[in-house]
Amino acid sequence: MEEILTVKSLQKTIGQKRILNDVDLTLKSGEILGIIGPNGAGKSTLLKIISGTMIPTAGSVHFSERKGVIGIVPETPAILPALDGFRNLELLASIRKKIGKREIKEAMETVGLDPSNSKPAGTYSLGMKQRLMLAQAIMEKPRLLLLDEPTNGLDPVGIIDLRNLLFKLSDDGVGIIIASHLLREIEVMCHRVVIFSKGRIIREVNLQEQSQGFIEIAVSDLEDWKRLCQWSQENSNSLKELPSKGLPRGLLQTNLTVPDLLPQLIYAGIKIESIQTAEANLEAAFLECARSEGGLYR
Amino acid sequence: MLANVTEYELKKQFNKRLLMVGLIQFILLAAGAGIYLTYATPQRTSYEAFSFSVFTILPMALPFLSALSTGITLAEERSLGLVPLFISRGVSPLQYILGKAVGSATAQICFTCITLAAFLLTTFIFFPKGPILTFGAHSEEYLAINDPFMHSLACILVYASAALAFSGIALLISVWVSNVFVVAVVPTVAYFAALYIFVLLDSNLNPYFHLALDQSPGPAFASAGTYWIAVAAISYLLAVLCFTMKKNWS
Repeated sequence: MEEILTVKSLQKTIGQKRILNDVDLTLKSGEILGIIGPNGAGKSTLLKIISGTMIPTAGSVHFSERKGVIGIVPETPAILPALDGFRNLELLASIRKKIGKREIKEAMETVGLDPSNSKPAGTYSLGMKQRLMLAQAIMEKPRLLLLDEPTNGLDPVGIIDLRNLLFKLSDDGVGIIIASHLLREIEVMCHRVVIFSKGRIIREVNLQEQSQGFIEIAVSDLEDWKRLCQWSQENSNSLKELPSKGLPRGLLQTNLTVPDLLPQLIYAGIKIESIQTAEANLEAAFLECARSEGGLYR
Repeated sequence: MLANVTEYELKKQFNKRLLMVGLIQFILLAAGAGIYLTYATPQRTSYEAFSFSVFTILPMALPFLSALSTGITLAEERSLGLVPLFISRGVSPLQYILGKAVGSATAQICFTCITLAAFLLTTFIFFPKGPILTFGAHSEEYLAINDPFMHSLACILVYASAALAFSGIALLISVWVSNVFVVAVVPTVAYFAALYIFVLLDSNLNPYFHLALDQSPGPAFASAGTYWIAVAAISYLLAVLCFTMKKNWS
């Protein structure tokens, strides 16, 4: 896959505050890249610089299609409230004059909006406004799509629709960058994720790698959890506790496979409720980063 | 791309809001014609009613109505977050602001000229045609008496250039301020503050008078028109320069 976006040594300073600090990033055609991080980490600033609405202090952004459209879905829906959805998109399409009414209607239908709805867009629900933003972002068939908190205001069906749409666009070769707080959504949607903190990338996680030697285990109670901790220490395996509302849950790093590991744990008297090979676990990676950074949110 | 952005701006400008502001302006002028009937004059004429209305009512309202009709366009798009949607489509900041300036200026000129022309035509229904004997601009008395139509036409052009200047000032403020209400009010405050300062400086300008028509030295229309066109040109030029030099357009 060809690289469509290259970000090199990007820096942004506003006043005395450094918002971005030497950010390097690449995006391939058809790749979905997630950006996660706490508020003020620099995610939105990075997207603004890539889309051209903000000038960096230093560094460069190279988009392979110099005069191509970049589809953007801003954090807050940007619409002319007095006009209906179709008219909003028609006005935006008139800026480049590359598409006609048919393509606009297609884009609206793709995101689940009715092109004949004559209600002013200002009266739309937040979810409908977000769908309209998606339609304007994809209607001119961009090669690069930037989404800032795209699931804001979307209902569960809307989130699933968005996920399917992004997978389809990815199959068509569109490079996509999503900035979000929602770990679960990023984990499901993205091929690769970068974790941002204080304006720099502190970790990159490839979610396409199915196994990195991690096995996720849930045990019956705290006594079993203690036994599991002891077993992992004795066998030189690292065990990370995962946040859980019910059963104690952890991520064990080991060379063993589940069929080999399970008899050993049972033999050690640990009651296992569930055990499975973990996919690259974003939550675990994020928590690990939080610990190593002294807490991302501090 | 510049032509497309200008076309977009024109399509956006001619909307219900412009119609509403035009209606308000027309009602104010009609109210002025009503007040005209209470004043004594040797001969009531349509041109005189027009002249009286325009000179007494419009200077008070023009700064606000001009800003509200077209001047707030940039502030509105900034507050709605629309600017990034242009830039991500390959429109440069210079093309964007030039398109806005050309589009809003064209819309403002058309809007003011059409509203005033419509009012002038309406006065023809209610009053007979004839010279302006009492309520013309003092230094243009010859024109008012001998060619009242040309006097009214010149008056429309001066007011259109003043409206353009107020719209330009609003556009300039919008480069930094995205609050639509503030942007709409600033030209009015600036206008009355400037007139007040002229009075403090012992200038001949009367703060309650007519966009400088009455006290202009020499041919009033020419000097007042030039003055407002200069203010408009400077404010539009500054708006374009300042917006282009920004580092964040979101």
